[in-house]
Amino acid sequence: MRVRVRLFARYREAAGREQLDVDLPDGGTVDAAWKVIVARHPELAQYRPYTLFAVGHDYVESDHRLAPNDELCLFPPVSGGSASRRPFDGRGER
Amino acid sequence: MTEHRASRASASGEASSSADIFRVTDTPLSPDAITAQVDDPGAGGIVMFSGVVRNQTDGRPVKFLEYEAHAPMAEAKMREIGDAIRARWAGVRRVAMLHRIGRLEIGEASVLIAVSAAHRGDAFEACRYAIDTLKRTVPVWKKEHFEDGEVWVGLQGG
Repeated sequence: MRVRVRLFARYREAAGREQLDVDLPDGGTVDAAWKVIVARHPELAQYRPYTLFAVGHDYVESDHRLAPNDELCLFPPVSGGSASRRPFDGRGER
Repeated sequence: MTEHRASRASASGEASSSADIFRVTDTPLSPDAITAQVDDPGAGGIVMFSGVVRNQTDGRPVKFLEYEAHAPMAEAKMREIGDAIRARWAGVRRVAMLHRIGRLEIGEASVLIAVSAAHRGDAFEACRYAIDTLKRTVPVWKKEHFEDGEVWVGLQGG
């Protein structure tokens, strides 16, 4: 089955694209999709611990089973609003 | 002071959530407009929160910010917040949440939240809940632009 993957913010810039299609066995999970994605975009591999996944308008876990033509979104940690508090403060650049 | 209106209007029953507004937009936000949008005859208090672009981060001067969203999901998540508010604070009359995307200058509002309620306590608490929850669940990202570079907030590694 084919799944559309959309990349946002830092991930979009790191991969140099907004979306890609991946082919998975039927019943493939988000985690299986991730493996295919990082095989094509190794620069994304480092973000795995921080990545949020969504299908449709809902967040999903990595063991969520995808359906054909699902749109799987890869999100960096969200930072809506305007506060400077950072979910990963102390990690790297200041 | 308009709190005296609350007891009179409370007999009119629950305010409909269909008039609530949850929107992502690339145009400037108006505190006056969003406050007017939650106006309700049963309201005794309106609380409006405005998140604005600060001129520095940890002492480093910020030139401007860029916001990006998954707009349809962001609006759906904001509506979920509105639904949760209505379930938790029975006195809430109307809720409006707006998030701006694109380039924002120092001092401009990136997010506005307005809540009207029969009494001020519910309005303050619900508004605080809305902004705190928005920052955890609504898919919006910001990039800070400095004199000497730019960085996506919330993921500083790599």
